[in-house]
Parts: sequence; C-alpha cells; structure tokens
Amino acid sequence: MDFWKRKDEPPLPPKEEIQPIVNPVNPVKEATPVSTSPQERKLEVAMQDSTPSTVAHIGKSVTIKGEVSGNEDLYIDGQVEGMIEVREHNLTIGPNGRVQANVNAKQVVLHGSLKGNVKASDRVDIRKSGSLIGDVIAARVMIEDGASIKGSVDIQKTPEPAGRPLDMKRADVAPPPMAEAHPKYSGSPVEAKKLN
Amino acid sequence: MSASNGMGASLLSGNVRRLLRQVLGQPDVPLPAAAEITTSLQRRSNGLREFWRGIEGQPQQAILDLGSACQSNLSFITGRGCKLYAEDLFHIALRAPVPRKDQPPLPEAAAFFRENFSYSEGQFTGILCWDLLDFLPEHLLKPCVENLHAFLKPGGNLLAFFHTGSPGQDAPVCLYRIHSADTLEVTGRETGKLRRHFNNRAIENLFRNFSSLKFYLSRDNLREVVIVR
Repeated sequence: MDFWKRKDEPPLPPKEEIQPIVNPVNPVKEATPVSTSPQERKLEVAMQDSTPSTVAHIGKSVTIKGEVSGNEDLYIDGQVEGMIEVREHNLTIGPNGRVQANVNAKQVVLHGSLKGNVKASDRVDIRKSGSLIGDVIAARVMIEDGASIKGSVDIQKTPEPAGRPLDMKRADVAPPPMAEAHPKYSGSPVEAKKLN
Repeated sequence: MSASNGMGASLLSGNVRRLLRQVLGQPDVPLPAAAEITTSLQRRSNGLREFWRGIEGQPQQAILDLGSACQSNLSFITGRGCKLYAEDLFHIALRAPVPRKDQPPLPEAAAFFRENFSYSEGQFTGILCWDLLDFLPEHLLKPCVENLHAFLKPGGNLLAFFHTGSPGQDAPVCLYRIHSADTLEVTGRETGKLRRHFNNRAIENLFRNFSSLKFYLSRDNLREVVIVR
C-alpha cells in the first residue's frame, strides 16, 4: 500500500545560514564586560573620569543635607545644606538653588542663593540674580549689577601646588615668604568662618 | 575735634542763598532726580582722594563699602591690595521697623541694627559711607554712627556724602562707582527723600567722637566729608 509507504521526500534545500548584518560603516562592537571585583571597579571609575566631562545635576526638588563631594562639575538647582567640595571642578548654583554650605571649587557661578564661605582656585562669578552671604577667597571675583553680596572679598592669586588639597583652614601650613613692601603680601593666614 | 573747610566761602554763600530763598518765599532749587540721571556721570571727588591719601601706607587694609556691590569698586579696592567688605546698608535700613512719633524708640530697632551690621572693634581701615546717612531714619542715625566709630580703627578714614537739599526733598539715590582714586562714576538707582538737612555744625555734632573732619563741596551740591577716627 502506497499510503503507508514512506515516501522519499525530496531533500530539503540546505538551510541558508543567517549571516549577521554587518554595517561596514558602524560595525557592531562587543559590549565591554563589567567586572565585579573592587579593584577592577576603581579602574573603571578612573577610566570614566578620563572621558569627556559631565555635569552632575541636583534638581530643584532635591534637598541634600550633608557633605557633597565629587570629581566632576556640579550644577545645583535644589537645596543643599552642609559642605560642597568639587576642588578641581566647577560649581554652578542655578536660579532656584538655595545653598547653605561652605564651598571649595575651582570656579563658582552663582545665579541663586548661597550662604557660606567660598574658596575658589580660579574665579567666583555672581550673576545679577545671585545673592551671597559669606566670605570669598578667589583669584578673581566678578559681580554683575544687581547681585547682592554681604561679606568679605579677598583676592588670592597664589596657586596651590598640584595635588595639594585646598583646605579651608591653613593653620597647619606656613605661608610662603612674601615681600613686605606692599600690604597685600602681609601673609596673614586664612581662617574659615563657621556657619551660624 | 578740629574742622577745616575745603571751600568755606562757597559753602557759606550757598547757605546764604538758600536762606534768602526761604525768606523771600522762593522754592528751593530741586536736586536732580534719579530719573534725570539716566546715564552714568563721571565726577571728580576730592573727598575720595583725601580718603585714600589718609589711609595710604597702613598695613592690612580692610575697606567696608556700605553701598551696593559693584564690579568697579571691587576691582579698584582689591587692586590696591585691600580686603573688601560689602554691606548694602541702605536696603537693610529700609527693612528696619520705624517707631511711631507718639511712642518711644523701639528697642528692636537697635537689636535689628546689631544683628544686621555687626563687625569687630577696629576692624576697618576705611569705611565708604557714601550718602547713606541722608536717607537713614532718625532712630537709626545715631546707632549707625556709633557703630561706624567702633568698627573703624584709630587713624582710619570714613567718607560720607551729604546732599544740600531740604528735609523731605526728593533726592537721587545713587550708586557710586570708583573709577580712579579721585574720580567717581555716579549712576541713579532710585529716588528717595532726604531725612534731614545737615549743616556743618550738625555734621560736626554727629561725628563728635571722631578726631577730625574735612569738608569738600562739589558743584553738584554734594558735600563730601572725610572723618578721621
């Protein structure tokens, strides 16, 4: 009976191997494997730091109480109370920013409100909507008309040695010898004021 | 306390003219309103020159600027090697409570001043008061001057401007930018009312705890006074 006879089915055409579509312009890259060991993780962070700079953003609905530190530029549009340390990077306080903290940064741009002492290795820029209550130590200070400042401004252009932390208190560091002819070079140590 | 008039004759003639106008019922010459000072005006300031000359050579100079903070003042003062303290006392004084005439002075007013205008004894080599005292309410005037005396170190200089208008007269509230050691750039901010009229005797009484005063009268009827502690 032909019904039960296994028929010799014609052989199936050979399966076409599905080749991955390779775009010669943008070749597919292999994903970088993420390790879980701490030492390798530190290296990955260092590698990320060497990539083009990014800006950390604190939004206007965010409130932080404590110490904020980092190795990248920082934009604050919320409320921060405590201490801010971004020594070799820039700090921008947005128009909604309300900061009650001592600040240590390379450059500070103020659009909002800041109560605290500011130490900048480069420049402090107070825009017309900015309000600063506290002492400023920087190489340069810029104030737009309309800005409010209550406190002292001390221009110090002596750069700190590379890799040396910019301490708010210099009690342990002897000031470099300077000429006494000009009152600017009196070499008086800098003291940080505590917030009330 | 000694006083020396830089331009006593012109000041006397100005006072005589004002007195004659009052006797004859003529209206006083109005001071230029802030609205008229739409652009910045540069003017020579003998008082400012004397102010810097008086503190020249003093070590660790700290200058208190009681006007609105501006870039030109900051650049000039820090460029001289001084440490600048900024305090916009004018706007602080506007927020102070004003006692009513039938009531004794409010104790909170003095406390308000202490809380908002507090520095160490003898902290400053120089204080730039500008024309603040012309617009201060009466109950704040003496406490302010007492504080200025305490904050100024012995031998320090205080620079104050006084308009020559009548009490209640409109006067421009100006921003004084230091252009050079003897030149100011004056910009109108708003219009205020002169609280009182200061003659030379009144100014001497106000600063009687200081050691000396020097008066300079300018063409725009602004009396510049350098007070030495």
